[in-house]
Amino acid sequence: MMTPETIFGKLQQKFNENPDLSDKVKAVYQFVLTGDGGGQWWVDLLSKPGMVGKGEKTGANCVITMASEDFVGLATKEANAVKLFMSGKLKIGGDLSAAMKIQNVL
Amino acid sequence: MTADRRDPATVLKEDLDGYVRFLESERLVAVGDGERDAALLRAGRLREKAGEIEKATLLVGLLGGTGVGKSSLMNALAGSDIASASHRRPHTEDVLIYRYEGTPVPPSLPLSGVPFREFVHKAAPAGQILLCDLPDFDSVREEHREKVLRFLEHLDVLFWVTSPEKYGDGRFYDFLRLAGRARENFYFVLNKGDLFFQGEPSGDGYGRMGRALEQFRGHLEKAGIADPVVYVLSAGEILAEKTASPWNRFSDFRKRVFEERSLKEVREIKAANLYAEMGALREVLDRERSVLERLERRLGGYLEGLPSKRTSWREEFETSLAAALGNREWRDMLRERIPARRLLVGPGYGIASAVEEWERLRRGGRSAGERRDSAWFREIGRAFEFHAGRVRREWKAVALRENLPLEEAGFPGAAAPGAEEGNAVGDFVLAALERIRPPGAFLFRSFQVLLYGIVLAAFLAALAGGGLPPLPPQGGLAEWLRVPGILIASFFSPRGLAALGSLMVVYGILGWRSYIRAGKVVYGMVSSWSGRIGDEIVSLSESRVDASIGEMEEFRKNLSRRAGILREFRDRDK
Repeated sequence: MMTPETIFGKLQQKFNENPDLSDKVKAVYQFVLTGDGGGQWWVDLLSKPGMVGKGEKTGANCVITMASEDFVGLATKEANAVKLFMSGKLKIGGDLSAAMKIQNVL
Repeated sequence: MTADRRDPATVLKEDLDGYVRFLESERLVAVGDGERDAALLRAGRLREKAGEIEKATLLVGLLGGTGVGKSSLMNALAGSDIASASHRRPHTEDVLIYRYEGTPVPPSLPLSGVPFREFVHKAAPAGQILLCDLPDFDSVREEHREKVLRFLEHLDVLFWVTSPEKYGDGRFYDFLRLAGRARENFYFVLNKGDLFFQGEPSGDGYGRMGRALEQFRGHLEKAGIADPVVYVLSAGEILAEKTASPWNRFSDFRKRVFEERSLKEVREIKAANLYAEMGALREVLDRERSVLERLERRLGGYLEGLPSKRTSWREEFETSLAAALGNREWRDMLRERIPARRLLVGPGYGIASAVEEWERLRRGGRSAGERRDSAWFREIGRAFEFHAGRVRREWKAVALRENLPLEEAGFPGAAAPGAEEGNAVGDFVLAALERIRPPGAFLFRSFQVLLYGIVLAAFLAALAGGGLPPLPPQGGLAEWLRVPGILIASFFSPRGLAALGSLMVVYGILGWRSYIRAGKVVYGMVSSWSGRIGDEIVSLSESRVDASIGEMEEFRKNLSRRAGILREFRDRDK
């Protein structure tokens, strides 16, 4: 079963395999996931290859807050970020255009 | 929006809800999926902001280029109560924020990506204001400019500072144009006003100031700021603790920055900014409306012109259909369904069967049949397809020529190739053929039987004249057994053979005449069935055209409904 932990692990692998992904995004994200398997993770796509880490990172220009269950749905393409946002299940702090770009990376 | 007397936050939220509903539920013509998602996120964010409009804190920003005396203006403005000379910008790209100790920085500020430094003061009268001293816009790196612009989204009131040396700098106006805030919350400061009074001739200071002010206003108006509020002042004079010159409007400027605004005023300022931020959303929806209206107008015009075209289209179709129904294969096939032999008996039947078989052999042993690959099938199909699909095909061509996005707008079958009617007519014709029944022709057949009977009787009478024994035989069984022999002898007697030959000739003539007569009857029936099927095909084709027009009318209504919603948004915004 997928958990945020495994998803972020796979994301790091993906960044290592495709270092150029950072070029398309160029932003730092802070994920605040609530509920089972939740926690905080950051994704730094200013560096090349992109980096993923657990905890808080200063200088994030986009903070995404959501339930970890929804995050798994988003990563497995079962959920839609815009729908989650419009229904209030996903909160975006900071740069909206950066938030749009992370969808493609996930 | 200004005409609406209700709470501006409520009005904004209602507008945004309407936008979101439209973006989520309607098929968009001029907006791609990515742009729709971006617009939805923006609308969602603005809804959040509209919910925070009640907060009394105002973020006031000072912006300007290098060397316009912004720091001295800031020092003069803030005074020792708020700022001090030790407040230096550690990095050129930092924002300095002066805030009252009881007024926290909004949580969204750190996410703008622009580093800032806070200075806390205890001047309670200025507690409502968070004074933000922004980096010189012409000193920030290109990639940082975007962040500064994003930071502007947090500001409620903006003071744009320039000086007599720099008010002509085009970059100032470029930056101004990019700021997505309400223009009514912009104020302009022409600092270093004392420079006007330092030039030659010394007595022309006011003249120089007036000319510069006029030019400055002209530039601002070109940048989209109608009737700008401009303060000509000299912060240097204030800092030097000189008596302010009569032209120095520093005091008015300071009052404007720190004036205590009522909650209603704050709400109006914030609402105006949100409304300006909605500009990008409105631009998306306006584009959509404009395309929908263009599409609706063009389709309406096309439909209006249709009745005059339909008559000639129908005539053209009838002509091409008549040509197709005159096809020999078609008529052969109909004749096969109404065989002449079914109307004939005796020799006529034999002749008709022989001719029909000969025709079949002439076709290579194939039945004329109702094959989908036969020429008549193709020709009727082509003519039908051309007519039934003409209205849609022509409309699609108009849309293509005029670059109207039919597929995106949801026009049914917009993506299908031109021949969407397919071979629908084929099945229809085959079903119509099944209804054809050859006539019983009872009277005609009876007449033939009678005729042949009379001739046969005459033949027998001729034979009788040759001395046949009396029939029936009068004797016993032996007499009965002689009869076949006598008959055979009579048939093969010269008289009998002559009579038989005459019978054959007469039967041949009568059979041929009956066959010709039956051929005429069949020809009439083939023509009649062909005409009837032709009429049905025309009627079917016309009903297809009607259905297409009906669909187009429905489509136009749908366009009109969508454009109507968007017009309502636009009118509300007015």
